[in-house]
Order: sequence, then C-alpha cells, then structure tokens
Amino acid sequence: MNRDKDQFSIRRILVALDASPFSRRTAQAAADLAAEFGAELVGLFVEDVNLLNLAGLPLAREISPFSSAMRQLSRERLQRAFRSQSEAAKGTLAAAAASRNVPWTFRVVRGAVTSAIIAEASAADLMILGRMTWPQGGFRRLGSTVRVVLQESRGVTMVLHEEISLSVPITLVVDGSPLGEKALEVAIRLSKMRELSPYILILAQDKDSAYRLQESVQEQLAKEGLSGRFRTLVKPSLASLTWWLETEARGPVVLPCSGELLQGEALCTLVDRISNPVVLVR
Amino acid sequence: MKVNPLPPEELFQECDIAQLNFETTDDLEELEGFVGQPRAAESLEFGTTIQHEGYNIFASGSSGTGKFRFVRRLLEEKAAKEPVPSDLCYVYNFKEPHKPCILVLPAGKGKGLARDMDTVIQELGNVLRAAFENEEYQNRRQSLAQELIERQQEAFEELQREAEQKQLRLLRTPAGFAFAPVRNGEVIPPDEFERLSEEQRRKVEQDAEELQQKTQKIFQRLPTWEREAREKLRQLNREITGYAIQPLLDEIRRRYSDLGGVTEYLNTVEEDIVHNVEALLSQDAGSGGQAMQVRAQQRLGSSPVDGSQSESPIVRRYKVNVIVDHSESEGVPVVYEDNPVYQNLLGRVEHIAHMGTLLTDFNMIRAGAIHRANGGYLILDALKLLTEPFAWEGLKRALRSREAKIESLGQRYSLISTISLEPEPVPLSIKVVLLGPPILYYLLRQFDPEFPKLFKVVADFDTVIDRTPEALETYSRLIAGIIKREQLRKFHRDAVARVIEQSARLVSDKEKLSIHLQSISDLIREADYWASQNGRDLVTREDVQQAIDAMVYRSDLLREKMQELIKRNTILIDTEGSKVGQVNGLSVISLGDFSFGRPSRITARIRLGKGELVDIEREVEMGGPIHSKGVLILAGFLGARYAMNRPLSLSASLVFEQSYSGVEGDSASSAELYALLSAISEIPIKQSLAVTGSVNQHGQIQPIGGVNEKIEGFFDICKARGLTGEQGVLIPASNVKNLMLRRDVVEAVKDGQFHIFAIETVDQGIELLTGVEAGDPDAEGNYPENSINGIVHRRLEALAEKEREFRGSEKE
Repeated sequence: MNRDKDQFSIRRILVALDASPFSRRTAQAAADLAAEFGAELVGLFVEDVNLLNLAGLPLAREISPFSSAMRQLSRERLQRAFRSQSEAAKGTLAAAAASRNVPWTFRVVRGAVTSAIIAEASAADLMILGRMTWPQGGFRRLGSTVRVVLQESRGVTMVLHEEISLSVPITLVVDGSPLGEKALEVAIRLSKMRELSPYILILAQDKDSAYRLQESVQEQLAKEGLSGRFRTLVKPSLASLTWWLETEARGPVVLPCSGELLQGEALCTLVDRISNPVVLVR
Repeated sequence: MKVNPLPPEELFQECDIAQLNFETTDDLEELEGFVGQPRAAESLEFGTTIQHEGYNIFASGSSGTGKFRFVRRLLEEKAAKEPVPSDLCYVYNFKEPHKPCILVLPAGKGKGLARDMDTVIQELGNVLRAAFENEEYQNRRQSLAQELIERQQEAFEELQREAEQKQLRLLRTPAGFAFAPVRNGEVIPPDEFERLSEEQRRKVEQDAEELQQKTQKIFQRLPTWEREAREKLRQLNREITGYAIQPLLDEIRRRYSDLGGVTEYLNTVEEDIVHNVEALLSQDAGSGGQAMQVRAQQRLGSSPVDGSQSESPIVRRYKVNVIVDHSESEGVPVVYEDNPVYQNLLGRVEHIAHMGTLLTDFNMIRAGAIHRANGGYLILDALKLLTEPFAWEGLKRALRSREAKIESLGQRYSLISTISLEPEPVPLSIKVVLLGPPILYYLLRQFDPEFPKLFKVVADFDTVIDRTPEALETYSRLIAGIIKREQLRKFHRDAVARVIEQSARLVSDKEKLSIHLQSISDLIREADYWASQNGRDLVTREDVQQAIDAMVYRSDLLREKMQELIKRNTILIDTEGSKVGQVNGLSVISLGDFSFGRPSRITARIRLGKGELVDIEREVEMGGPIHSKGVLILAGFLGARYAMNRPLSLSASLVFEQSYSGVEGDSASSAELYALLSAISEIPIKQSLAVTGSVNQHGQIQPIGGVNEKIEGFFDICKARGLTGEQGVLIPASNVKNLMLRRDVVEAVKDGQFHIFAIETVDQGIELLTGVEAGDPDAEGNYPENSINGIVHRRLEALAEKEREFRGSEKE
C-alpha cells in the first residue's frame, strides 16, 4: 500500500447543526478538528422543505413525544422555529470556533435535509454530523437522514455519537480495499492529533493476507512515528465485525466504505449497532 | 480566786513517740481503706445497694477530705463484683432515618457486630459486582432491555408500516413528530394537495388523523412500558442481590442467633441492600461515578455524610456505631466525668462541615458519661455540674425518666430548626454520686424540689478523728500509704510524730486529728522536698518543721506587714504599763488556708446617760451581728449585776481602735467588758496582757475560735518589743483543749517570759488585768468597798444620783 502525502488534505469542514444540546458538542468537535487541520469551518442549518410543505397542509399536526399532546403545525410557527434554531446553531458554531480561533462561516439553506447536506458536503473535505439518540426507544435506530448520508455521502464523513468522546484511541478497519490508503491517512492524522496509537483491525480472508496487510500498515505507521495495536478478523462477517467493534473499540472507528461489509444496508446496520463515532472514508 | 498561768505542757500536746512502734514508715503496712468516715461508708454502702428509684448519693464534705478517692475506691471494690453491663450500639433506622435505633448487646458483642458489619461493607462491593457481572445476570438484563426496545420498535415500525401503506411518512418536527402525505419520497406540497380530489384529501386526512391518534397512544404507553421494564429489572436485581448477599449475612445471623434484636436488624439490612442495590452498584463504580453517587444518595434520601471521603455515604448506613464498649471491662463501670458539660454528660451528635453546611449521621453519635456509666456508677463534682449550663437539668431529666436521651441544646430549646438526629433513648440504670461541700447539699435540699426525690442518700464526710492511741497507729499507716503511693522518702517516726502534731494544730484541738488529706499530703510532700534539699534520704522532724515554717513564710506577708505597723507604732498597741478603759483584744484574720492573730486596742468611755451602750462599730455598720450581740450582752450583764434596784444611768461607748474594716464575732466581748469596767471604776488595765473570750450575761467566759493564732499574734508583738516576763494572754478555760501553740511560745512560757491564763469568769479576768480583787457580794448583795465590783457599784450609784438630781432640776 503506497501513499502519496499530498493525496489527502482537509481545508474545509462542513458541520451540520440543529438547535439540540448535542449540536454544541458536534460544533466543538468540528472546531477542534478544524484547528488541528488548519481548516475552515462551515456550519450548515437546513430548513426542511418537507416540513414546510407539511405545515401548509390542513392535516399538519405535531405530536409531542413527552406529553403526547397534539397541536396544529402552522407554517408561521415552523418558520419561526427554524429562525430560532438556526440562530442558536450559528451561536453555537461561533462560540466553538472562537474557542479554537478558527475561521468560520454559517449557511442556512432550505431544501430536503439529506440532499441539502450531501450537496453542501461536496464542497467540503470533511463533513461532520451528529447522530442524536431520542429518549424514546422506538427511535433509537438511525434516522432516515443519517441512513441516506451514510450511503450516499462522498469524501470523508464523520458521524458523532453523543456518548463517545474523540479523545480516545481510534480504531481503523483495514480490509485491503482501494480506499484503505485514504482511510489510513485519515487514521494517522487523527491519531497524531491525539498523540495516541491507533488500534488496527485487519479484515482478511486468510492469515497470510492479514499478515501482509499488517506489515504494510505497520510500515506506514512507522514512517509517521506511530505504532499500532493489531487485531485480525479472518473471514469476517457483519456479525463478527459488529461484535468486535462493540466490545473492543472505545473511540472513533475509521471505515473505508468500499468493501462488501462497509457499504449499503450492511454499513447502516453496523453503524446502528455500535455507539462509537464513525469516520466514513470514500 | 487567784488564777495561775497554764503550765507549758498544757500548751501543746506532743506526740508520744513511744506510742509509735516503728522506726521509719518503711516498717509500716500501707493502710487499706481510709481513716475514719464510718458514717460516710455506711451511707455509701446503703445508697449503692438499695435498688429503688431516687437513691442516688450526695457525698457531702469539705474540699480536701479525700471524698473522691474514698468514694471511687469504695465503688470500684463494689463494682468489681458485679456483672459487666451491656454494650450500646446505634444502628441506622431504615424506616425513619433521622431516628437511629439502639441495640443493647451483651458485653463485647457490640464491637464484634461492628467488625462483622464492616466486613459486610467491604465484601458487599465484591459480592454484588461478582453477581452482577455474572453472565447469567447480564443475559437476563440485556434480554429485559431488548424486550423493551423491541416492544417500542415494534409499535413504531407497525406505525411506520401502516403510514407507508397509506402513503404517509412520519417526520420529526422541531418539537415532536407529524405525519405527512408523500409522493416519490417527498412531502406533497400544499398546492398539489389542493389539486387532489376532495375524496382523496379527506381520505389522507382521515388516515393521518388515525395515525396521529395511534401515535399519541403509543407515546402515552411508552412511560408505562419503561416503568414496567424498570420494575422487571429491579426484580431481577433484587433476586440476584438476595442470592448474592444472603450467605454473607447468614454467617453473621448464625453468630448472633440468640440475639433477636440483631437478627431483626440483619433482616432489615438485607432488605435495604436488596431495595437499593442500584445505588450501591453506582457508588461501587468508583471515582468516576461521583455524580451517580450523589443521585443515588438523593434516591435513598440519605445525607452525603463522609468525613473520610474514602467511605461511601451509602454504605455508612450499614455500619454499627458502638458508643459503649465493654469488651475489656471487668465488673460494672465507675465513671468520673471531670468536665461535666452538657454534651460530655448526656452525649452528643457531632457534625461535619460539608460544602458550607453541617451534616451528620448516626455514626457521629457520641456517648456521654451517663451512657458509659450505665449499669454502674457515675461520680460527679456537684459544683462543676451546677455551674455548667443545662447540665444539672439534663442529669435530673435522665434520672427522672430513667433513660439517656441525646438531644442537642439547640434542639431541646428550639434554638435551631434544622433537622437533626433523634437517637432512640437508652434505658438507664445508674447510681450517681455527687461530691460537694455541705453548703451545696443544704442549698439544693432547700431550693431544688427535685433534689430530695433524686438524691435520697447523703454521705457526710468528717474532717477530724479522735486522737486515740489506735488512731495514732492508723494515722501513721495513712502517712506511710501516702508516702508509698507518691514514692516519697521514708519518714522517721519523729517526723511522723511532727506530722501528727501539725495535724492536731490544723484542727486546733489537742484531742483530735485532721483527716483533711489534702493538707496532710501537702505537708508530707513538702517535708520530702526539704529533706532532699537538706541532702537526706530519711525525712526527719526538722524537715517537717521546715516544711511547716516554709508554708507559713510563704503565706504570712500580710501578717508581717501588720506586725510591722504595730512595731512602728502606726497601729497603737501597748504591751507595757496600765491604762484606764483600754484593753488589748485579739482577733483573727483568715486568708483562706492561713490565719493569723492580730491584737487590737479596745477602748471604752463613759458619761452620764440612760443606760445606752454604744457600739461604735455597729453605729457605723462596721460590726457584724454577732459582734453587736456580744456588746448587747454586756449591757445585760452590767444591768443585772450593778443596777438591779436603780436605773443604769450611764452612757458608754466601745470601739475597736484603728479598725478600718469590719469586725465580726463575739470573741472580744470579754475584752470590751473589761474595758468598760475599767472605765467605770477608773482602775487601769495592764497593757502587758491581751484578752480573748466571749462572755454571757452571767459573766461566764465562753470559748472562741482561733485561740492559737490569737496567742501567737500577741506573743509575736511582745517578743519583737522584748519579753518582759509580765506579758501574757487571757483565754477561756474551755479553750485549753484547743491549745497547740508554736514551740517558741511554749519555750517562752517555760522560761517564765510569757503567760497563758485560762479563766472561767469575768471576775477572774478583771483581777488579772487590774491586779485588784473583783469582790464577791455579801448576803445583802453588797461588794467589798475596794474591790472592782464595789467601786463599779459605787460609781454607778453616783451616776444614778446625779441623774436624779439632773431630772429634779429639769422639773423645777
């Protein structure tokens, strides 16, 4: 596995925000990364056009998950809520950026949330979004926005989880796919930022292949002055990979999204099951 | 009726060393018990044996009589034979946490139970961790969690499926959820929706409404499902906990199976652990779980009390606070509380400052003296007890209610309104012995109505014993005991004899000995000191004398100053010649532990009058009531003896010259009478003599106090001016038994340089003082012409005649 040093650089980080308390942590994590990479921070708030459309319908009613109360959802109220939320999100980003002294901009766009995020992400080197857990168990599974982003985003995407910090060793999944090199580069950058040696999980069909992959990764890490802690999964399945990450990985997981296990619905299932932040590399 | 001076042997009772059958105190056996006090011993025996309510004891006696040692020794001897009382422990009250429960356990069991519960606390974390990390538990727990998730997911997935079937989608809104009609994955815009047929629109609206209602119902059921899930988890936790801790507690239960209270307590502990296992596990999560600890405390409703920071407040509730431990006791306790402040006496609940507030729990309950002495005896100094605020009232309350209740003063008097602990009262079975001076006993008896009900027994301590040959032996052994106990040099029997003589001097009685142990012990210690200063290993009579002299020297600065004033004629005292109407009286100045005699000039002047006897001291309110009484007795005497058939037509004034402070006592009344008789008769009184003694209306001389000091006071003045052989002191004959005079006085008497006259009547006294016969009345009541009484009689008759003449001329 050869690597060109100029192949991967992060100059622009897009962070998708809403008004939730978790957004503060997302914004702060984005600001930390921007400071480390010397990147510009771009905040994004999407006014969901689907909701606006819904609010224009006579049947638009909002049900509170806490009180079960139902109330009319008007366009005016919704727009007011969007304005308020976008202001809050902007303030959050400004505070986070100021704390790390990084340049920032903030955009409010109107559109379908998923497509708006993916569209904006095309101009960024790294996209960060939060994956919030709602108190109701029924919504613990990934929301549709995250699911679509997981499957359709390009470049490098980081999905944060509210319970896991970035300040712990990262885990890199190496499957020998073409994106492996870029994933390694991302893992190295993140590890050096935290001055922590990464865990490397090798996915291979046999021990020899695994050994070769390990040697190659070891060599790259050594060049960067890092040492990795290696684990191997021979003939991995989605279940075994999920189990390993669930039980062993403590920090962010870097996933090169090209192999069979790390694409499409399998990827969604994996991300759904583990509670770690994930960095998707495409 | 001539009165002879007392022979020297009457002036001092030497200790006959022939009666001391030992060479040094090393030859003597230490005295077991005490000298004297049979009455006190019997009272104490009675008071400590009788088992009825209120039979507590007041040991009444002067300070320094050895009451404390006597009482403690007697009680300790008695206590050693009685069975050891129970241990007292406070434990957490799981039903009412602010009212800790008392556990009364057989001696030594309290400490054992506390140790066992500490082991439980130490093991609890491991046991619970092991049980809850067990695979079986984890599987069952995950299964329960999964059950809830699946239940919720099932409901929402069903909802979403139904929505999809109806071309609707569940959307997240800024404040909740909503259903929207979709086409090609996007919400139908309003204008398109408007273009739908009315039937289509109605159908969509009906579907949405139906789903909205279903969603509402699901949301309403969510908390119930979660509650059910939590309850199932709790049940599981309890089951696992019970299983895990039962062996741990069973081991203790077996050990205390005969103690119902402990078994009951252990059952509540088990129940509590099972109910609060989540909190226990949270605190066990380590330092990272600090916030969870606090939450757990809040759930448990307990105070976060933790002085050490190392002990979790949650597990502190399982500790056992042994406030009284008798594991090493033999017999019942005998407790002396030297500082009987309210808290020391009745116990207290301590607090610690935590984040600006004061916190406590049952582990911070501390026993008072009544708890420690429970089942046995408590000795207290009455004066200290009475001078400590609220202590006396607290003790009486405890004795009255027969229970020891720990209450802070703030609580008791509602000074603070914050919640504190109300520990369960301890049943009290105790004998209290108060030590105090008699005056305190009488005052309490008179002014505190509860005192006679609670302290029915008085043990009176005497300060003297009879000076019998047997007593001399006992006394010598007492001295030997003090010497051995204090590891002093041995005393030669001469030294012991001198101590005994000084003991008699202390009580001013040849026939008695002092058992004021403090004074005797001080003398012995100081004699030992002087022996060491003199380079002797054996304490001799000289060392004892040196100790006595040094004691006097240290205290007699005032005496010296007073005598100097007399010697320099600032205070006028004649010790030679004769004067009409002037006599040397003697008084005693007491400086606490030291007294000395001081001569005072007493003068009398007379004039024509109506029988008034003016006591100038009384007129200016410098004379006490006893002194005034003495002077009024003189008027009675004069009237009865010289003016039976006519009015007493004189006015006389009496004064203590150069007296600038008060005069009290009647010991100068005979001197005043002599001055008066001299003034009336105009026969001078010898100034070489001094007088002490009170007189009654019949002219009999009565005993007085401080006779030795008075004689020595006048002797010192005479000696300083030079003894003439004429000087001396007149004392009441009844005071001869009190004479224990200084050696130099006795020597002067022996040499004929100084004289002590013991007189019984005024006539004897006036004869000695004037050298003129007093004169006895004949059958008709007339006195010899040239006798004192005859002259006085005549002068008074003449004064009466003058008064008659004076009255007659007034009428004309």
